[in-house]
Amino acid sequence: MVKRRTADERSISTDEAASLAVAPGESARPMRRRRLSRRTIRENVAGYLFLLPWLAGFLAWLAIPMGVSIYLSFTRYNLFKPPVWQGLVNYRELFLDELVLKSLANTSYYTFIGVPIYTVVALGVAVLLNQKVRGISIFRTIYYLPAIVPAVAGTLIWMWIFNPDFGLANMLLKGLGLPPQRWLYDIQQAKAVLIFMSIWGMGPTMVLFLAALQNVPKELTEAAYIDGANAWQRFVHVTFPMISPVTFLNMINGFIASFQIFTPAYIATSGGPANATLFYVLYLFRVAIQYLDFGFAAAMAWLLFFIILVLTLLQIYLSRRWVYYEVAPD
Amino acid sequence: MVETAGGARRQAHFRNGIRTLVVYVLMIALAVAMMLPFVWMVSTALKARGAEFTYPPQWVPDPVKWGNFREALTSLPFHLFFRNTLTITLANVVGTLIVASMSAYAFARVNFFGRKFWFRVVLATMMLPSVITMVPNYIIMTKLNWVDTFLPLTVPSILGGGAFYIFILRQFFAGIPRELDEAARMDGAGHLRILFQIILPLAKPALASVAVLSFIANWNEFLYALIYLDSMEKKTLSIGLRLFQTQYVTRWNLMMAASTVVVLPVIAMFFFAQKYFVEGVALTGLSGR
Amino acid sequence: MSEKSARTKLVRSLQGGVSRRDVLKMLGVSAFGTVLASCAPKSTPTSAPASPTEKPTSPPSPTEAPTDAPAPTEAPAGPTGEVKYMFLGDIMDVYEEYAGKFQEANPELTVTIDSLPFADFETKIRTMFAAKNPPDVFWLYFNNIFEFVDNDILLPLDEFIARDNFPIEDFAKANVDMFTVDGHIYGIPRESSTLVLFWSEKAFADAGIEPPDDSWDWEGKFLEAAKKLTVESDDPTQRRFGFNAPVGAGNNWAAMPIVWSFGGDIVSADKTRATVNDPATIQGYQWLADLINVHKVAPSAGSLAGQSIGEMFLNGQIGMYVSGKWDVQVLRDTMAELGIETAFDVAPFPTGPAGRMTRTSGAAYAIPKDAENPEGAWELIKWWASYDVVEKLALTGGMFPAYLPVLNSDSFIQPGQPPEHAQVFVDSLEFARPEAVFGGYSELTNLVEAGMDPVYAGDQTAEEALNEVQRKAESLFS
Repeated sequence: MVKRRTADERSISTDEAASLAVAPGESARPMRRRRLSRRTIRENVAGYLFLLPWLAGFLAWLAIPMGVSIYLSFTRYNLFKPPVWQGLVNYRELFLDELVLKSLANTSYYTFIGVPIYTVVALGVAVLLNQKVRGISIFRTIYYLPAIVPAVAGTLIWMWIFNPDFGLANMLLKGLGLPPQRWLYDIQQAKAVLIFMSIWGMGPTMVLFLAALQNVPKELTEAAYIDGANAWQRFVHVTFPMISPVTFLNMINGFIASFQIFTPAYIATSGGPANATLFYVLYLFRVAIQYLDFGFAAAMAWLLFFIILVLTLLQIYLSRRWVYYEVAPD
Repeated sequence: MVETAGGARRQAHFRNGIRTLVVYVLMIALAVAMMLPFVWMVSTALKARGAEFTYPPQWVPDPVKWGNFREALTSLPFHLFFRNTLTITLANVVGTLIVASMSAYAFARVNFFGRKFWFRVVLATMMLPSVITMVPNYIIMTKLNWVDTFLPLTVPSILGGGAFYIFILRQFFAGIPRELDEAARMDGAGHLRILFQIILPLAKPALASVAVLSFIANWNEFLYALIYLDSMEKKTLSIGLRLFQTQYVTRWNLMMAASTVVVLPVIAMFFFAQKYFVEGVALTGLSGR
Repeated sequence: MSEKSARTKLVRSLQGGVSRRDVLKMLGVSAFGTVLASCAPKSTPTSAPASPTEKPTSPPSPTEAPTDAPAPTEAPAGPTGEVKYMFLGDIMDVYEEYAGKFQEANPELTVTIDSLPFADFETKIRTMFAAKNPPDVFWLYFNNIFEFVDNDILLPLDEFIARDNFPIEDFAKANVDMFTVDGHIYGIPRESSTLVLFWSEKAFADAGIEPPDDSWDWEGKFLEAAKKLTVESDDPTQRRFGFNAPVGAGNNWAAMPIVWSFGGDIVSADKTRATVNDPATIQGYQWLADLINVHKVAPSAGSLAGQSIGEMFLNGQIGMYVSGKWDVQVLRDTMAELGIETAFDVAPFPTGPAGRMTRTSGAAYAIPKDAENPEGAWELIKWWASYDVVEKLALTGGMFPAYLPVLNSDSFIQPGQPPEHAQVFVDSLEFARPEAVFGGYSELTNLVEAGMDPVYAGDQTAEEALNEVQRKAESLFS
């Protein structure tokens, strides 16, 4: 199989060719020489100069704080007195603290149930929009709208809709002859309601799917049609593999974002009832800002990082089975 | 049974017509479902005090209380919230455009030692949960006395942040033909001129997408505004709305009125920049693959 | 559209370059934005601060005697500079008015007032301390006294009190004790509180029953009345609940006195261990939950979410609930806004198996150790704690001063305005006690609240839930 070189690699060789023309005294591959040519120095200086603002910020707000965070996770620190070294106490506590485990369980529920549902719905709507009907852009706009609304506003609206006494949701149930539910005040239902609320914002994901669907070469689906495949078979064997990179991207993004859910729980339920919606980042926030237990909060943050890392690597590993790349990935 | 060619065609059209109809019905139903919360929000916003608590709930308020908007907006200094949010957002958008363009250009066009490494670092930061740096940054900001200013909401995101935007721009820049660079090089242009005269003009769609995405992300920012902005004069729209919720927790008509006002600018901007938004994201999300 | 054709399209749509002017414009806007972002002012000072502070020779003191005129007429030599005061922002207009008068009486001092609602206040005050940039005078809540003293960030006020002969005995002893740690006084009490039973005249009239009196007991007469008051209905606007039980997140403090009157508590008197699953504690919480699930006289936690308890109460949809003096102002305002005629009244807490108990708490004016202007701060505290200011605060209706001369006057009782039996607030002090606050108290409370949620929902017994909570609470005392 011929590996197509990416635009980047092609460009490099053009660049080298150009540089060859400009500097006649140099050899064919200036990169491999030990002696730094003036051009190389200039390139390096230019590169780092352009990168400097981001790099400076990266050091100041990412790299160094990460180091501080690692250090803090081994201490007890409440902001007033200097940090007190504690060794692995915080990390041990992580596995003994019931709320850490509970919040992990809640977050896992929300993520592993919510993201697949969300992805399927987004894909389904994208498929719907991909039919040859007019007015797609209007519908696409409408479906996109909820996602750009500030989370606080959206959450307030949904809280009102799910109000047990006067909300639309129970009115709807009543109209269908079903008993009213307690929704966000019910220990079993609260998380499900939050998942439902998140689906309202599936616009951006759907748009990515739609673009991917529209990029599926017609020749392939037509060839399948000619071979006698029905719509479902065409989807499973042609369309889905062709859009699998985007599906993969959406799932990874979805998992990473869902695992860090904060605002809806903070606004709508404050983690209740009975900590049913106490998600991991919400608890971390409480530990840091309310209890001022910064050492423990730092340890919690690193546990989260580790979990997300493992989850992502696992998905990448599994992706070899089902994600089909037309071009070899970067 | 002999079928005429015309009959078969008519049957195909009929099936097609049914199919189109079904698709339309579904799309419209979905659109209605998506917009329902907004409609309900506005309906509640216009209700008189206590009218929210009618049983069964009414759709069309009677009487219609336009005054709710003014009451909601003046009970808390929403004009300040608006100004603050706008300031932070604009600073972030412009700053991000500059820094992300420069960084993306370096990755796409400049051949420097460690380029691949640093690009991978940029990508890695996308995966970093923000809470990792939240705690130490909070401590740093406290010691610097930056708490209750806009600085923690702008400086770290402009410098050191925006990995996703760098990624988008870099993919886009990499897709611009090198020949254009070379032509400029022949004329003696250095990297800076190439960036400004060649790359950026061609990258307008991507830049617009980044600008719009950044605008919306910053306009809607909640957690960091919550942590760092305490004084009333500093709060942003999201925080103001939350404040509204805690203070007027039972005044749903006012809460919905305030929500409406907070939601409107984003929707307006979205309609304006829609083209860049929806198409641009899709395009840049897929190119360079 | 393939990548190649996209690029072709781009090349075809080549437009003019970004000129240097454009760049400068962009840079200007961004710089402008960043400058705007960074120079947002912190608070609005009333005038320019800081001349160097001098050693006061004879510090001025606004008089505390109940009958004298407020401000001294001479301009005293004393502390100078800015005094920064930070509190919750309630009754702000009185503070602003008297800050002006303070500055007139003390021309060398200027007052800057900052305020935040409770949740933000608690966070911000701590970050200010941590940044070594605290206000000069701030509102100190009783629940925080041990945390602040432990972290050594408060200035003991004993020397000031002795030096100026400050009449600390004019303040309710219970409240002074709240802010005394290891023999040092760290705050001048601003407010006290007691929890009483609010009852709705309309609800009682509609149900045709006698109002509460001090012969009531929780399990007997109270429950009986609550049952008679309760009306069920599918239509939420037709329902009436006899009692809005203090359940749900953030409400445990109001449930505590009921638990106490059953003989229980969540922590031992010596604060060395949790007593969450003591039989008496379990009994108290179970009784509370039974109000919801067995007797059905109370709404379940959250079922009245998003509705105005005050309005429902005044409209007769809620018969009784537990609250303090601060609610009086709110209820009066609501009555005025909605034109409601029939009022409300208060009664002392009914007795429980272990006697009659209610809860008191308090807040004080305190000075941080790192305050820039402690002398000026002390002057301001004396001013805020003087008769005139306290009287004005009390007259608003919602303030429960810890300053006895005002507390025992008509300015507090306010005859002629609801509640008619306002004396109950003061009398309840006799059987009131504060919560047994310690370092981990708020965490313990959170555990109890979360643990009790399923009990209030009727899914678990208090015994099961509180045994769990007791187990989890152990780590708070190690």
